[in-house]
Amino acid sequence: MTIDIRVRDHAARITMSGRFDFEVHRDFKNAYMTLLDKGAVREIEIEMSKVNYLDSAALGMLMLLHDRAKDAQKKVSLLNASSESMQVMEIANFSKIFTIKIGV
Amino acid sequence: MELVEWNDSFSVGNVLMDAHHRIFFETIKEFSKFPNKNDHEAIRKRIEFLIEYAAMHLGAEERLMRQANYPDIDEHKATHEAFVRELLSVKESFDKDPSSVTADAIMKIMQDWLVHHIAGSDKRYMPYVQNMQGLAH
Repeated sequence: MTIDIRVRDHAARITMSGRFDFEVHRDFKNAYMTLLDKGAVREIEIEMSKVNYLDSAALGMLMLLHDRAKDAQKKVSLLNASSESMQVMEIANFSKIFTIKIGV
Repeated sequence: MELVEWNDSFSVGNVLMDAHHRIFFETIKEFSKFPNKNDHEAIRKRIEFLIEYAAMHLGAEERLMRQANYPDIDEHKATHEAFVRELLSVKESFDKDPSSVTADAIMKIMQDWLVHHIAGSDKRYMPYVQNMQGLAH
């Protein structure tokens, strides 16, 4: 798994590649915590097109981000998740909780 | 350890709380299948993650109850605080002596609490939350 962070204007994009599972939880948290502290960042996008595996802990990590971003008054969007990842995320109704964008 | 599968009877009528609860069940299930039970560092990291997740969930639930003007919020919060104290105490025992408490026992404490708490306490705030959601629509 690699994690890449790009900040452009008011949006920050975290690109996840490979296995998005418990093993990356510390790196994922470090990545978004620095962005939550940045006043200029209003939206955090998680780019997921290169994620080839997603486990339940990853859903928990995304939910922790959702909660903390709400506290920091920032939006979270999940971008370009594969149909397999979407299937896992729909276990917890993510499409009703997160902004999900495909093809961006 | 007997694992509990999510079913609709666990629903508290709020999409976010249901998602939190379901992910909690699924992650406990996933971690309980972790093969290296003697890898104490890996187990410790998983316990810490579940405690962090539980704290997030309980805080979000308390915010929701406040928004819904749930009258028994103080009593409910007290059960949350007791649960967090129990988790921290079990974690402390594990940190001192990993052989004193098994990973399965910790997962079981979390799962049992979740089952009983949803079925008991959480269901009681359900009508207030549904009333709030109905008014909002």
